[in-house]
Amino acid sequence: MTILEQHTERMQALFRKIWGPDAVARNLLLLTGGASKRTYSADVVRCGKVLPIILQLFQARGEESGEHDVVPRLTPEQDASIQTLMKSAGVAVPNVLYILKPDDGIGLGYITERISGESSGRRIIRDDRYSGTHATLARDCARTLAAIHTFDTEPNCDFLPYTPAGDLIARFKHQVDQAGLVCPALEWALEWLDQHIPSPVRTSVCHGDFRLGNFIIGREGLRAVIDWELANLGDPAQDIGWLSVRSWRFGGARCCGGFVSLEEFIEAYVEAGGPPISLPDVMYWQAFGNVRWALHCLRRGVRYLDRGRAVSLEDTGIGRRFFEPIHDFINLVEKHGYRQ
Amino acid sequence: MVIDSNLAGPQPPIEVLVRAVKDFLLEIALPELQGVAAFQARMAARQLEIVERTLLLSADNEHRELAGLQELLHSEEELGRLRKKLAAMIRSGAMSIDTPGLLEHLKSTTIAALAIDNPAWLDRSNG
Repeated sequence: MTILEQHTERMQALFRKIWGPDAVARNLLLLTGGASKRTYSADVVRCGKVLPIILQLFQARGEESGEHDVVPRLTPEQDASIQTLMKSAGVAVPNVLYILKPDDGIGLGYITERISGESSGRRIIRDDRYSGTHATLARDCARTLAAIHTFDTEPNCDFLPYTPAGDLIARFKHQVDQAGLVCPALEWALEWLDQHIPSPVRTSVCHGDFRLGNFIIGREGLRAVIDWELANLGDPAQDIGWLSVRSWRFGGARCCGGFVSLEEFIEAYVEAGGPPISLPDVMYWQAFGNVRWALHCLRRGVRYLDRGRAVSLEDTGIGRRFFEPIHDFINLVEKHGYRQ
Repeated sequence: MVIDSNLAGPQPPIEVLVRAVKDFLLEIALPELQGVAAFQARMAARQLEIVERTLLLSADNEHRELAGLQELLHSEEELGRLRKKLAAMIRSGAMSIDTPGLLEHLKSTTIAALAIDNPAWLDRSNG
């Protein structure tokens, strides 16, 4: 029996445990096998009914050589909790159906309903089928972020990490030193970020990775926001800034996600009840997001140094994208005369 | 230009080897491939283009970066040392981020790096 077959057998046993002895999973597929988690899709058939599900399995902490120590990641239980809380606030998220327990024997993770639709950023931006959806998607995203950011953080959200921008920048520097990177342009960016930290209009629940790739859409608009494991408490402008990083535009011409201008987006966001954040604050977080993405490229780019690990073409490729966000950072700061 | 010391005569030099492998990937292998393998073949060809552009541009890039660093730091030391010095001075605050000429230097070295890693990123100016 191969490892995959053993794994499959354990999953089938889990489905029988949750949904009864006659439950059986069909079309079990590994969708993505990322560094921090694996995502499976399946159709669970029981009592003649089909339940489309997603099973996410997470790496235990410490299994990935500290790769995600900059932006803290939620545990699967916390991840499931925030999704359930957001659902109660009217945010479109998949229903969490089951959180894995240690005695389930297949690791950490949870099962959600599977929402059908398109999640490829490239297709959402470039495919003609979705060009008519961009305006609706912009309104849906603005409304969604407004709901997330005005959610009452007390008393239910104290499990979310709160890391002030200055601490994140310090962690970035630590990571640069650990990687042995000597890059004056990045040092300049880090120093600039350190000197321009804005005061948040409020502390909000933030999604933490709100961008194309984590949206499931249909031609009628946004169906669900997924991947909540970077949710945190912080400046709500961070989510809009991250959405505006050029690396997430997939070639789209508009600043925000590739599908709407930043000014229009902020207007729709405030109209939907979002806090009155300012354009310069969003631009700060856009600049910050560029550095965050550059650091991600750095982490992926130095993986080849790990002994005993195969050199991956994807890692070397992403490693060589490091200067893209550095370039965008400098342009952004120059363009907006954003210097003291 | 890279000096290839193994080369005694008109044997194919390194840039021709790289081009031959890239052409193989795109013109012979890719049409036979599907899914992940096709995606990776394209990715591999793009990375070979980084090798091609490195051979073409890196000596010139380094030369210009060195000249910029020597001017900024008023020093004749070599590239690696000066780069390290500048990074440390920015980090410690010994050199202010508003120092005249600094951002221009960093911008031109970043553009030079992208000219090798992904020149298409420079074509689109909506940064």
